Amino acid sequence: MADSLKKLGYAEVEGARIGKLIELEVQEYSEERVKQMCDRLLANPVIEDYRFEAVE
Amino acid sequence: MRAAVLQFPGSNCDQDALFALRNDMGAAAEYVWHDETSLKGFTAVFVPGGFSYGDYLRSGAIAARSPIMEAVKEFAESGQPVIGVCNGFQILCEAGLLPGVLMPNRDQKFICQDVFLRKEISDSRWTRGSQKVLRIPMAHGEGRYTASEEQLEELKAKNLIAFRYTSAAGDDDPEANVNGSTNAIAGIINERGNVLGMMPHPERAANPRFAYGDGLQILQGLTSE
Repeated sequence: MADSLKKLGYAEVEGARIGKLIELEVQEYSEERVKQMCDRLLANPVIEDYRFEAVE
Repeated sequence: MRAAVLQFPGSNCDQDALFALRNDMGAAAEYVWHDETSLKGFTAVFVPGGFSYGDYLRSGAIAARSPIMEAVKEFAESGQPVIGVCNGFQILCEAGLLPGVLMPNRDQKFICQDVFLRKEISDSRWTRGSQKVLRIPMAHGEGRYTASEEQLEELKAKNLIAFRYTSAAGDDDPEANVNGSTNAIAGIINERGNVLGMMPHPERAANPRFAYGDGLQILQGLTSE
């Protein structure tokens, strides 16, 4: 990916990574419950980190 | 023995497993759907391969949270035998019954070929009395075993690595570790020894009429102590 961008002339690219974006729609936002969802299913702590944010 | 062969949407080695248990081992075996909540009456569990839930999120992740897996956890805690093969191994790891995770193969390709496994422990129900080197087919895209540093240390210290990929003679050989697994790990057991997870398919090599029937030696672990 980074190589391909460089070949297109974007020499400033030093690294690139692809991650997962999961969008959840919830009736009511609870930081604690979303964290639970991440820990119990959405992320595997052996290979993944996560962060989340709430948007209106 | 009365074995439960679990079925998830996307399981595709369930029929092979049932056939091997019934026809090659002469055992009683029944399918158990993922929505079930009880394993009453069963003495062994086979978690088969396939692509449960299309490998969405992570391979095995959704299946690991299905109702039947709560029953499998209780079943395993009671000391009864559970084997997970291929996607079944991925499910057991995701369910927390075994440590670690199965990542996409090193070369990003699906690998379908026979491999040689060296048994690394001889006092386990899964390997007692089996040959030192077994020839078993593999077929997976995500079988590169890895785990955290602490988990790997624990696997080694407690002697929980059941099988490693080796040459046909049973020698360490980086070429034989075709999916790039950490420490060439092909299969592991839990601390109690009643749960085995492995990527290659013993149920596909369990018929003595094949040129090789080495898988049967591993499946015998479902009946022994």
